[in-house]
Amino acid sequence: MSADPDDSAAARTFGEGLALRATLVRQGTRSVLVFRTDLFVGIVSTLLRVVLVLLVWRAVYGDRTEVSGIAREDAIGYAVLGVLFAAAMQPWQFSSLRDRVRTGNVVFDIMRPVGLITQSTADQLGTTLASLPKAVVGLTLALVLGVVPGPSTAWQTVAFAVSSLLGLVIAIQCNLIVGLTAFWTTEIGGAYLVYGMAAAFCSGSLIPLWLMPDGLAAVLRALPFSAQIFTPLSIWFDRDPGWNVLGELALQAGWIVVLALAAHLVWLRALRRTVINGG
Amino acid sequence: MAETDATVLPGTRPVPPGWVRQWWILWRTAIRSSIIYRGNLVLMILGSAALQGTQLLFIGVLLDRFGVIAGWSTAQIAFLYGLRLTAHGVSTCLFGQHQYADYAVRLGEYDRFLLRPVNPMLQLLTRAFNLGTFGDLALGLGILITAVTLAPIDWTPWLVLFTVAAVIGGGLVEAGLQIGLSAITFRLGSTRTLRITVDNMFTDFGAYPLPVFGTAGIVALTFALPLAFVAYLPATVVLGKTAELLVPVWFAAAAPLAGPLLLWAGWAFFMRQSRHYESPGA
Amino acid sequence: MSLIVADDLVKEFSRPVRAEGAFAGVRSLFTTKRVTNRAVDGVSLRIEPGEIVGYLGPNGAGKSTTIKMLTGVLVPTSGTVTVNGIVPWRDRSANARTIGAVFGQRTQLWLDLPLRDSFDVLAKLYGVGPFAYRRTLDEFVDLLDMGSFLDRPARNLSLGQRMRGDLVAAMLHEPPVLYLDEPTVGLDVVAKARIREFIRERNRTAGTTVLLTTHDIGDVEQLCDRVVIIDDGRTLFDGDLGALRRTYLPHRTLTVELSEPEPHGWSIDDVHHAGTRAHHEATLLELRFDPGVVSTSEAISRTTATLPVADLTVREPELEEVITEIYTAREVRRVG
Repeated sequence: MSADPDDSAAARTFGEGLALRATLVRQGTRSVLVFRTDLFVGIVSTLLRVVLVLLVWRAVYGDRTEVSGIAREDAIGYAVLGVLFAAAMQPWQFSSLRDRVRTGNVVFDIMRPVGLITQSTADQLGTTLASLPKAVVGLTLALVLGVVPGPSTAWQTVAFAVSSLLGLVIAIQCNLIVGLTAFWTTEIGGAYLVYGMAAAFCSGSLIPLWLMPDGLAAVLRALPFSAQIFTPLSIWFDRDPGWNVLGELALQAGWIVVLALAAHLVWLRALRRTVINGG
Repeated sequence: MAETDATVLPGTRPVPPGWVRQWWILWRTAIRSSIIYRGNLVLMILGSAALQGTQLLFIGVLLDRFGVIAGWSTAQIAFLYGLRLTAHGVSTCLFGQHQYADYAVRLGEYDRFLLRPVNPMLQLLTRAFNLGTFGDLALGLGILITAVTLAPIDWTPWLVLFTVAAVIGGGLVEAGLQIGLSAITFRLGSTRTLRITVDNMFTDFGAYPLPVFGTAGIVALTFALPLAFVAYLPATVVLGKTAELLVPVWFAAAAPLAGPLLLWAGWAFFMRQSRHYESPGA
Repeated sequence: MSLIVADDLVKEFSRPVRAEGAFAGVRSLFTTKRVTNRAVDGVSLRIEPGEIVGYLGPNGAGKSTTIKMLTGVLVPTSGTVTVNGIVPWRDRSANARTIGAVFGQRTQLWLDLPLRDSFDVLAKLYGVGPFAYRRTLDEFVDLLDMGSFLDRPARNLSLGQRMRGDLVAAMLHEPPVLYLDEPTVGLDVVAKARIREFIRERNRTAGTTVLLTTHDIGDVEQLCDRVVIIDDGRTLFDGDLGALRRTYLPHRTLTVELSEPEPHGWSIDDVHHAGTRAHHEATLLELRFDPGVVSTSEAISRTTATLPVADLTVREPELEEVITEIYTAREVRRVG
């Protein structure tokens, strides 16, 4: 991740810093699990989405086994995995950064020893961790229903795992950058929604880019969103995963670097522009 | 001590107006407040529209590739979608503040509703107004009107009236359900996620003709979750697709009536549960 | 029959118990154990029309909970309450027309609208006729000196201004009963004086019955004929201020300024030496006596006979001392 100007690493041992970060991740986790209903309902909601997506795609294919070169099982499997990825990576619990800026509590964040970026990241990681249960439950249902195909080779599994992690990193970075804009406009509930929806669609979690109109697909490939979900999923559904997979992974790594730079720049700007809104 | 009635109530005590007038006063006030404190209105409407936009994009791409969904053409799907979205707009525009029931009850705002000679639910629904809800309404109407021009429907005055009733009734179904759910906050704390899940189900599942979900799905989405009454059942009547119905045609034709019924039930349930209100703060 | 009648009011709140220890968070998801807290434990009250009653007690004593039951915000777990024959939580609308309520921390004003607009809306909601509204509003604005900020959004008002606004809002429909929950907390001296004057005025001209909870001794001294003290959900004391003093601190203080240095080894029958303090260049002696044992005039004559008195004042115990004594005794009871 980007270097934080606030981290005075010399003042702390590595172990201390790690412990601190672990605490922040736990706090992020807890904030999502705080209400019991939240957890149960999150699971139910994911299960429902899995069922919905399965039925819609089945209905849409009708009796056809293949459309535009995409096999029916693949389309359904993709859609289901897309739902699970979205559940884990794009939770509705956005970083509390926005609220903290609005109430002015962000001052304390800036003053804390661990940098704001590290903190937001830990927050997001925690949130993702907390979302894992529902993704796992959804996956279980998908496996029980037999709608998700297994991997073809061990290499594919490894590549898929790596790609998913990279995709998660990219998602966190994107969320972070959008979150930082809270320093400029404090009333951006609408902007968050737009971003969330754009991310959901453009990441390919809803529809594989193969099935989109060609122009649209080309545009989306050029954006970082597709690298969050479409890339790992396309690896999973690749009939013949060879060296081209490395290309995809490299692309993801590239995005990570670019986004890290962008985040750093935005962060520096944000520091300069700190506006404290009294409550 | 003398009889209190005589000392306390001389002839002319003010009499509150009826609930319709009270609703109108509070409604106007909420709109005025929302215009003053509107934040970024464009962004609000944008956000509201973006939510629907993603789904539209999804369905749009599907129809582009597959042409037909469960035997419903693009125009027919559009009609269904427009009907549901407009009903949703009616619900959020008039009753949308139900989502703050949690907030009001847990932070004590509900206190003040109990101290005035106005129905507390009425006050809750008019506590504020979200200008962004006009976005949903406008988008829904836009889609509905577009679909109407594209779809081959035999319009009669009765059918027009029916469509209007369906929109309003559909809105009341959603509102009544959500109000009933928000009543749980008096007993169990936060219901926010539950209500959001129901809202998402209405949005996600409501976009498709119910046969997509199989027989089990149709039954569930008619009697477990009253989604069918919002748009699907009325749409089959208007579009002449009543042949695919599992329920009798008269049932589908009576769908708009489910709205007032559910609203009344949800409202009554809420008022009943409000006895368990525990005003926070010492 | 009294105006406000409360009999054996009880209010219990129950909470799920939070698990402790390992995996506390996860285990809490499955716990069903609840713990019950009795905030009010059998409070009875009778208030006559025209009274101003102070309701005191330490934090957490159950004051706010009692008031919430009286106003109908909370439904009692058991016990009955009627206000002018109306059961508040059952006939909310009728009750709302009879009462006005100001809860210190919560406002009922519309924050984004000018103060005046909030009043307009409320007047219409209550059905106050335009003529009565105009007259009442002018009178209140005058009494509370609010003309300068009537057109400002409530959000931009200072605490004192907002409290006055809430007070007016509560009284627009001229209710015979007024409930105040910590109305002067956080206000400066001038604001407090204004609000107290308003309450006194309404009580005097319109006969408004007032029940106010407060921590402010000044409120009690300047407004209340009668005081009810509650602690741990139970009534400790219910009577007028004189009775309060007599019950808890049955003594009078004689402050004596000496004209000469204090003599050695002096003593006075039934008058106790409570303390000595220096004041400028003189010495002041604080003497105490129980008026039930020795009359004031007798105590004074014995004192002047024994000591070289230059000046002398008699006073009753400060209300603050009394209240402190009660709260301290509670601590003693708790610890001992």
